[in-house]
Amino acid sequence: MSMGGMVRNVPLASFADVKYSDTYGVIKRKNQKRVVTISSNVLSGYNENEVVSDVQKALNNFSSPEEVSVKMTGSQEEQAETGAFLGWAMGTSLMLIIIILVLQFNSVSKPLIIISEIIFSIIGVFIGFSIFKMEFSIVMSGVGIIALAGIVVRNGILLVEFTDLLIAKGVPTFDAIVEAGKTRMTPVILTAAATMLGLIPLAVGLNMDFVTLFNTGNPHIYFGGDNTAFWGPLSWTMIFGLSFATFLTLILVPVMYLLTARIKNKVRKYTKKPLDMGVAAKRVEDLIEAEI
Amino acid sequence: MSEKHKEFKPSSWVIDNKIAAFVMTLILFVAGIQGYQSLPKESFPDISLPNIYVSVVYPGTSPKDMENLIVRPIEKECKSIAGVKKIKSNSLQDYCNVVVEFNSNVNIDVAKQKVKDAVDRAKTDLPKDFPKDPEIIDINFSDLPVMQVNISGDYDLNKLKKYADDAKEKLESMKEIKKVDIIGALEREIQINVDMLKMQSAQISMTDIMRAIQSENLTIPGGSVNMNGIRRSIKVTGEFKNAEQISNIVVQSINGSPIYLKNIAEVVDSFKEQESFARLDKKNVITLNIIKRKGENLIEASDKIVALMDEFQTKSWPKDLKVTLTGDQSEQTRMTLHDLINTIIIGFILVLLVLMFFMGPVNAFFVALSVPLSMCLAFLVMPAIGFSLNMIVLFSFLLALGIVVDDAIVVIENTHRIFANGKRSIVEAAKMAAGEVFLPVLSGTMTTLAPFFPLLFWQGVIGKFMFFLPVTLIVTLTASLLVAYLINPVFAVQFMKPHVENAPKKSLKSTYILFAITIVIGYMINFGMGNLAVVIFLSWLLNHLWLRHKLKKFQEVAWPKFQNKYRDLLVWCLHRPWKMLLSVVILFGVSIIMLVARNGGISFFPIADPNFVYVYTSLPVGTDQSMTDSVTKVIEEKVYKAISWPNPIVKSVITNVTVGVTDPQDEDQGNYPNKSKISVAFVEYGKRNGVSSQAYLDSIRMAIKGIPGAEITVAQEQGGPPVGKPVNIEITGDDYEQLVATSKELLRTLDSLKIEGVEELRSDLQDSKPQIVFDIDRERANREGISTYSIGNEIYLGVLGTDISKYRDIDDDYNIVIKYKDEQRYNVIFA
Repeated sequence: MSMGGMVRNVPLASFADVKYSDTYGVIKRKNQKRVVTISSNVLSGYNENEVVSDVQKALNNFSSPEEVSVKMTGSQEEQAETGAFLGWAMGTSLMLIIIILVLQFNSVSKPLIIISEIIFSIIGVFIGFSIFKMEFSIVMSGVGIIALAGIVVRNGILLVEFTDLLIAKGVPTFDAIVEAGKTRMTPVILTAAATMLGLIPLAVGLNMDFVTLFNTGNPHIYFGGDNTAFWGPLSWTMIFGLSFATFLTLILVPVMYLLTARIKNKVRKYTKKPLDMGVAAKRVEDLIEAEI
Repeated sequence: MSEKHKEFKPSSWVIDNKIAAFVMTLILFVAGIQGYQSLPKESFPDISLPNIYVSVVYPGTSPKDMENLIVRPIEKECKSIAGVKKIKSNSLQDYCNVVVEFNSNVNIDVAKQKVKDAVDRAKTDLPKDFPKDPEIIDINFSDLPVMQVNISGDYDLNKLKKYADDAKEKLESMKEIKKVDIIGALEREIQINVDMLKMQSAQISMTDIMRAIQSENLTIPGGSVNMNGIRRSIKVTGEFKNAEQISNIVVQSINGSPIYLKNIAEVVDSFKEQESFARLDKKNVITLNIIKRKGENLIEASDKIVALMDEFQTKSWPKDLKVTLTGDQSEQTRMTLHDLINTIIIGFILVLLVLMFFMGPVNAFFVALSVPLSMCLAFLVMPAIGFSLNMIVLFSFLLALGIVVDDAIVVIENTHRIFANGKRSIVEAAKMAAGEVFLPVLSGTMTTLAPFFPLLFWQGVIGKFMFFLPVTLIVTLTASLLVAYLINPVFAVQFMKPHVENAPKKSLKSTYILFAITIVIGYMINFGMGNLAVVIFLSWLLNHLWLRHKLKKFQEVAWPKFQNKYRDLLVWCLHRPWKMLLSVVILFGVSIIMLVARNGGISFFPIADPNFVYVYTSLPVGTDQSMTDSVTKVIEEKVYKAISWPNPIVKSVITNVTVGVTDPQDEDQGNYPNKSKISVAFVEYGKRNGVSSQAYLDSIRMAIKGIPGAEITVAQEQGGPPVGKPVNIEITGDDYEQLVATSKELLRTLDSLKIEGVEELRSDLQDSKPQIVFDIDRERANREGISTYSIGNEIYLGVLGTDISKYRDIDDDYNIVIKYKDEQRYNVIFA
């Protein structure tokens, strides 16, 4: 290469050495530190979380120089954040529910009955996922369990409220519980069934096209699809949880009501104070007309 | 029962003003449907993460210098901005970018302004001579390709490019479209290929040629002259009309003999070296990659694009020009929403059926009416809070189905009871019923909603994504409250009739006539509507003649029997309460053990079968695009074999080289000659006949193994919110050499462990960018009166070539590029 100056050509080789070499193509930084990232996808058929924990084990055995830090990030980080948030959300919603219930019943034992019902309704979710060997999605199943709480509570309230009402009317505790269960069974089942039936088409992934059904008679029925893949876990969580919660509402809530009533009775005998049912009864006075 | 009963004022008001209520309902329906249609529709919600991207171009700077001179000062200023979550940067040759990630609750415009200010503050520490100011943009995940238009045909590339340009221009003028990238086209340019040897003997330098052309290719206004009272403007025109004119200019006259450009160089009207390649189903095409603007309606945009292409094809383009549309994102959205809406209808019918069993058809109908009404109300609210209709919103409706009817059930049932078969006037009954249940219904809905309130505070990408769920539920359930208070009672008043055994048959005649009219109108609208009307009529008839008797039997015989059975069970349980409680507690333990012992695994976010499979190939940095293309062809062959092309469930296979080759989720959307991307698109799920596209993902992964030198990643499209790679190990430190050594060591260690399930561990370290270094002996060079700058400039001009001027024709302007002849350009010996 030459430089066409005023008069002379000067070959480049006379004042420069030519070298072949390699260089860094890019320097990446994260939070003011230089960083190199090693990443990989997980093959389908393997569970992400298991693979990741294997990699984590390998990392723990790896000794790196002191100035260099090695850390797992990526979806793991987000997963941990999400898990923590969902835990917080569950706790907060339980608190909210307790506040509403305490205000409504002016009692501590009854909210406790209902809260325990929420917690036990998770049994249904766990057993269901275990029996059908379904994949448990942290986001979807987590949201499902939280959403479940609200519906479960509603059913619990229906029953407890009505039992209170009957007792206030002078019906003996045991009979009141049985009677309330029998009367309230229909709406409890109706509510749960409506919610579950609404979700079942999505859970099983039933798709059909109503427009073509009416226009051409062909409903294009097929099973599966993206929607099911996404919402299936949430739907099944709700369905498993609700079906078990219905059983809980109809059996365990009456049982626990009886138990708390007996314990209270014992305490009352011990302290010789009359049990005050008046307040709870007054709140639901309107319902007396409605239900009897 | 006392006569002084509670009333809920608004409910009583609407009952007294029935007509107003009916009109209101009708308006609500119409407005709701209107609202539904005008809502922007998408499968996944637009998530705009407040990520701000600063990019700086500073030619002639190595990555290390880039880092020190530019990245560090910018980072220093940015890190003190409030709300910053993470700062990432990439320093490359001549270029660097800094990505500032904010917490998800920071407004993106505010974030952008703050970063702008920070960069301004940093400017005092930055070099002053940037060719252009640092660019600050907000990254948007929804600025994604929505469709590709592929043009091919038996035309020369220039012509094809022209068609592509026409389309690009029209597309970019649509308000939905942000930009259109053309891939695989050739760019016209006037090349001045200088013969170095001839140039040297003429004692001319590249700079001389450049100057000569620049001072010729000009149009200069020369003021104006007054001639007979008319001002004539003077124009000196010297712009080139064709390549020949350029070759005829005199570069220099030494010793009186002019040296024409054609003596030392060849001037051709040609094309730029092909930088990008596109192939559709093995054939070369020009691909227009269309990118949608955030917040615009995807379905509308896609409809418009299809219509526009149709217009081009029928009107302005020749018939044998083949135009194929691929990668239409709206198809999946349509499919998803369509399926979900139909699922809602199925769910609705099931809910209606279950209500019918317990409440009878008439009451069930009133109750079920609250579902579409609540949804209509929700559709009215959603545009106001900036919601789009996406799969999360629709799922929330599905979830709300069963809950929405609860409120209506209580109101209607209570009315029914108080009405007690006509013992009380229906108006009075409805008012009483609404008043009585006001509080219980409100508190019931509140407790159902309570768990959803904390979900509103969900942070991060997933949180933004799921945010739609609690909001939709809260809106819909609140709407259902209003419907239960204000609309359901009115319908009850109008249609609830005392039920009398052996009612006179006469009244049916008008019903038949009404149905007949409806059916006729239905068929007049269209065939489907008519069929729907017939089905409704038949189900009414079925109910009237047969079902209601069966239902009555169920309600009066079967159900009470079941209730009694439950009662016995309950009594049995109540006699052993402690045992019952204990067994539930034990069951709780058992269920946890069961889940641990036997489960289908735990995942973060569910993954659907792929609709697209992408094969990303990355060759060593510095690989030429035509080399990348030929390697990609080999991979393409393997992919075709893996999916056993032609396959009815594979819709198209598109290959791109250089442009559009990065993961759409990446911040990095640059052009890389060493990278390519093969996209395999599958047909919609319903048309796959049960064949899983997941299997093809695996078979492609198997097939492309063993291509030396190429890093290949196979991925499916990201469904749902963007999350990081499952295995992602960050190695951080300050000493780069040590960092590099550690990362290599770690990669070796992990590779040797062969952890099952890991696709292929890959480091983003690029330590092998090949380069040629000219070490200048400054003293000797200076002695010759030559500066490092003039050496660098001469090499730059000769090897890279540069745009020195513009050549204009009627349509467009093209670059005039100067460089050494190809055989000299790529030969280091000539140095």
